[in-house]
Amino acid sequence: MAERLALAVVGHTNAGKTSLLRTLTRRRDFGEVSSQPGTTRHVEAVELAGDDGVRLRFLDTPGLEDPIGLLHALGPLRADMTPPQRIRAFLATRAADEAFEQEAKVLRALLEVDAALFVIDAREPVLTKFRCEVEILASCGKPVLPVLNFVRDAVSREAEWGALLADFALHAQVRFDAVAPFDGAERQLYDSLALLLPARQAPLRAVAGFVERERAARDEAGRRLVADTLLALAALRRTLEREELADEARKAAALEAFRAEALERARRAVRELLDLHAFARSDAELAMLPWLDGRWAADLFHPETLRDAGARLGKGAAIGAGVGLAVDAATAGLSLGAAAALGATIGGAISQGFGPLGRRVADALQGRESLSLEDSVLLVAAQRLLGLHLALQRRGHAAEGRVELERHAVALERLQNVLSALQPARAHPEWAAEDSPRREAARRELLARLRQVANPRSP
Amino acid sequence: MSSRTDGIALPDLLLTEAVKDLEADTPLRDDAALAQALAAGDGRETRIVQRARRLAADTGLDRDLARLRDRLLLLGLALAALGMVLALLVAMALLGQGRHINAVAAIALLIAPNVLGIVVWALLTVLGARSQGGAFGRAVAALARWRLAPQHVRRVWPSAARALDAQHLTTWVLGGLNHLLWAVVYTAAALVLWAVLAFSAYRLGWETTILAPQTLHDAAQAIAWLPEHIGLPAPVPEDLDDPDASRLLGYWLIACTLAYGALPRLLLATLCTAVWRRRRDAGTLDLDEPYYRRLIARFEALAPTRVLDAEHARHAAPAPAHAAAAGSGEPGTLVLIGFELPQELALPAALLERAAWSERVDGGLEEREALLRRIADHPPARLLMACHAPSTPDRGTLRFIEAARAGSIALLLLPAPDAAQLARWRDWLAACGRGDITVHADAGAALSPHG
Repeated sequence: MAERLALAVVGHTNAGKTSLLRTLTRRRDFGEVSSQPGTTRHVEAVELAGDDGVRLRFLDTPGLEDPIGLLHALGPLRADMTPPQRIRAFLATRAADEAFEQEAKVLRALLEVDAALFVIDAREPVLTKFRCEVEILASCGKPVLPVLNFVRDAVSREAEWGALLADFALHAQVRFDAVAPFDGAERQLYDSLALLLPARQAPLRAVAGFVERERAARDEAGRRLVADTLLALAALRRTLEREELADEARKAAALEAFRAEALERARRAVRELLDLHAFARSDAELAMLPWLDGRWAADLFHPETLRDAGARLGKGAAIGAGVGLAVDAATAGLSLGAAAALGATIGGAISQGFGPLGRRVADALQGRESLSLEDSVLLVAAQRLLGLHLALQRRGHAAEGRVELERHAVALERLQNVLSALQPARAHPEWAAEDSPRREAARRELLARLRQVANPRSP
Repeated sequence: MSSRTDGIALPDLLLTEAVKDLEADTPLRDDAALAQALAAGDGRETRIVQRARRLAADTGLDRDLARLRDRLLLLGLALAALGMVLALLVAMALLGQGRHINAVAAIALLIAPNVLGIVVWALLTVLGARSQGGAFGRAVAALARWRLAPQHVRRVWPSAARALDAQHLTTWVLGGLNHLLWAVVYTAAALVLWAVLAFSAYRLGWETTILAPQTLHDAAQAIAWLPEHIGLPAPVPEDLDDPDASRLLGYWLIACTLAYGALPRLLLATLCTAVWRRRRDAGTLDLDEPYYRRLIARFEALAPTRVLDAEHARHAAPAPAHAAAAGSGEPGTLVLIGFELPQELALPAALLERAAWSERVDGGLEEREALLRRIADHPPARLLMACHAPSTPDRGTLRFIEAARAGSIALLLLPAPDAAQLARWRDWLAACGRGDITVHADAGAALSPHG
């Protein structure tokens, strides 16, 4: 099935047409949007290709800036004309090339497509010019689906808009926030379009299904990414020789290097999550994520954060030694010592075989100590990464504000299960770098628990 | 080459997985590979594979994989040679204890390990099929991580082992090789038996202390059933004292070695080959893996957008009709217009007091023209247009400004705008060539006659 459908995205200037398209096509770079009016002055096409050959072609159109003048220029509807014929007649006039050139582009696009998405800034008062706009769009002979944008805003006039649209027989309406889309809003949009275009139901439902599957696939991939990172962090281990331990300066340098390694791993995860969700790393707002500009270090190894995490771990799960006790900035978050490492290894050895245990015993006998991350650090990393994944998952590609991590944060208490699934990694330093069937099994278990951490609903 | 099949051909799959491992820590520079893959076709998997092929060629991974294949082939040949030697040893062990051979015991000795081997393989296959990374998978993966292996092997083997396991091929590949090896062993053993029995004199029979000789005879006849059915002569002599008995039993022994040793192994090897052939070109990538998802996101971002109805030259700024009107108007008069304001937004009382007259306009054509006529009849010295700050200025607004004839025009944004809104209106006026119009943020400033 290779079906093509063309949809025009129309609306008043600056109502969020390009933003809607950015979110629908997950193309952050599409068009060029700003709060400057009439930014889009050409018609630009972008395709959304489904997995079974369906192709949706969206046409981004310039804003209708002077609907009152345009309606006047269209002239009265003569008895021998249908409304679309009136539009065609207007497009042949000089006014369509000169004074109303921009509007003419919208009308031409409308005549070519299967249906139109009519984007409305629901914060705007319902004025005469908008009434003219609805009248013109509704008279092009194409199904029009009004998309109410910014409905979550405090000054949204959704009810007034709904009444106006209904007066022009546009009863099917969709609420869609291009900046912070509702859960399932995309699906609802395609389902409503399918109702308006009965002949094209199959492809539209296929697209809706595709969009849903893609979302699920991204969610799964994001969780896998978080799981991989957490396993690598838990497996991270460095052995310090007796001489290194004796020399304070060298020991401090080793601690710092180890911490830097952990941070780099975490930063990589942040970058990969951005890639996965199709957000540019260079994006000004996203670049302000605490982890990309170095503040992650302050966050991940901050004694306060760790003390808090440690306290919430409770005594039952406190495997790492010294959490919450005398945490000082130099060793915060790091577990150093043969005893602690041995303890963790014995715990792991029961299920993981005794190879690592033997190595640890040898280390202990020769005065070596091993360095690893404490549970509190893993817990904080799990919370932040999972929160970022959930936040990006729900972020529209037109969003320009900062990422709201707080809203999507998972309570530390709910991550206890995740933490215990990480423990096997402590006995396998090689998991930090390479794959093995055993690591695969541990990853599956960890993933199952990450999936159990239910998604917090966005309000 | 993989376009006509539904899945991905195994060599491509192995290359793709090898590239994935290579990029685990640091992604490769792939601009050219991405562009090439984008041009190669529509399917996501096709593009990912195409990109991997190009990168594999650039980094020599394809050569490493070819070398690994050659080495495995050599290893197979060496194993086959080893099988021959093993066969010779088995045959010699059977024939080596003097000139008397207990044929029934000999065949039991030959066949028992074979049956045991097949049962173990079948069990591992069934158990391994239930979960990924079964016994064979684990063994191969462990070998793959063997640190002594040369660098080029380590670059491709772990991913190859993982990919084979993910496609449920490990058991069948290893099983096929194993069965082939044993088929060689038993065929060679039969040949050795034939050669030895052809050129030296042995006495074959069955000896027993506690069983009745007839039991062994019946057993021999039962065993002969299979070779007889597939056309191998396996005669069982009625009487061991018959001078022909040893000769007949010699044929029986060779036929049974082939029928119970080589034949089942050959059949199983065929089965493994069939499974292998079916799955070889039906490979799939786990597109839920973060690595592949990220590639998909990049491919999607590269899909071209097209400008259909291009922007023509920016509209020339409208003729400055205001220039003629400037300076005219009844001195000292101020007219206040509420332009396209929401109903609930009231005009500032202080301004209403000062204004000669004021009017709100929603924007309808007749209403607008009536208002413009009223302004034109008695042009004020100052016209103050109160506009809705959060709204976006549009050409309709500009058209009204252009048509209004007054000494000077200024805008007042209501409700009090933030910096961004103020900047937006000012920039818009400048872009329209009306930078001369002042935009006020509060009513007090708008009152001052210098504004």
